[in-house]
Amino acid sequence: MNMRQDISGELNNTRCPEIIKILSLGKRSGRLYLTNGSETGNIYFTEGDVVHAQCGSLNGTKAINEIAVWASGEYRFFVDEPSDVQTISMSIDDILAETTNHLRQMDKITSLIPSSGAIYALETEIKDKDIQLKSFQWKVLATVDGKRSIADIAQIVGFGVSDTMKVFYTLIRMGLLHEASAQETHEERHRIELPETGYIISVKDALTQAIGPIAPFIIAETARELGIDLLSDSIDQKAFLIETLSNKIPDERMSLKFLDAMTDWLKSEV
Amino acid sequence: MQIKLPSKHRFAGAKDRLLLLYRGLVENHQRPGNTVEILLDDMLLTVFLAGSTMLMVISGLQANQALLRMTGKLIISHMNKENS
Repeated sequence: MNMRQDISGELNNTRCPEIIKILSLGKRSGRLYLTNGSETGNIYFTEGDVVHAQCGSLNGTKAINEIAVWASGEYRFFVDEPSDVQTISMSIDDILAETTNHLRQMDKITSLIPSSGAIYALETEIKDKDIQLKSFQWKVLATVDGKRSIADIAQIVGFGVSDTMKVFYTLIRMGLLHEASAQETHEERHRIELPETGYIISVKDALTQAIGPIAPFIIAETARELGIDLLSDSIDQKAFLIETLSNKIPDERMSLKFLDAMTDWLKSEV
Repeated sequence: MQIKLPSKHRFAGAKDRLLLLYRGLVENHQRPGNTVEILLDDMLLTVFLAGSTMLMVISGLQANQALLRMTGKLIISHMNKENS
């Protein structure tokens, strides 16, 4: 086994705080790389102490809190990849206590907001006469348009998904936002235009058979999440998109049928 | 073409480890359809699980892993269908 990459696994089995605890107890030094499929993060260890963390535009414990929420994805530890900077100087116990507190807050938030993929629209009638907003709350509110998801808005405002969800929680409780109805997002979904290449037409036809007319929207959304260019000739990218789409088909039999059709198509291209 | 190795062949040493892997992944958890990837230096061992069947594929890292996983998933599902 390669000692440079000897700890790896899936986040649905072991969440970030547990991995931090294990690496800390083992007095490990190196870089812990984590991904939830669409975002990536790194946590750096020096002899079991966490010295730096980064996730998107976030650094320090904010980055750890962001990563700690991920319930799916992968992680891998790279031995002897030290950090050049130090953004954290807390003990492991303090870091884990802060993370636990953050996860508790997120549990409360997810009881109201189903996921970061949720879409909200502005409430047209406000009950309270006087509403006071802080500047960061206004920054988020100004980007809500009934089309963008919370994750999209998090990218625009640069707060991180967890913090943006916290702001949404407050704005919803203030009666300023409501979840966008299917009717509101319906038009947006039908406006999706996919490239008319042989590959995309095959994917669209096979996926429509499996999940119905929402297929073009799911293809466009998945490609965006994965950062895949639908016009790319790369077989790797095509296969990755197909595999991810197959995992989104709830019916196992239909998922295998989709895989079967698309694997044949891919093999004819290789 | 089928090659059978004698039980005392030097590869036979892997038997205990393979049994441990089988018991750990198949017998203890029963996770049909799951795919497990284990990094072996510059190779990848991909394990497909369905019922009591475990299919293992060793590939170079440069292989198209998504295509490999999709093909493996289809094979194990067909095997499982025939076994049941």
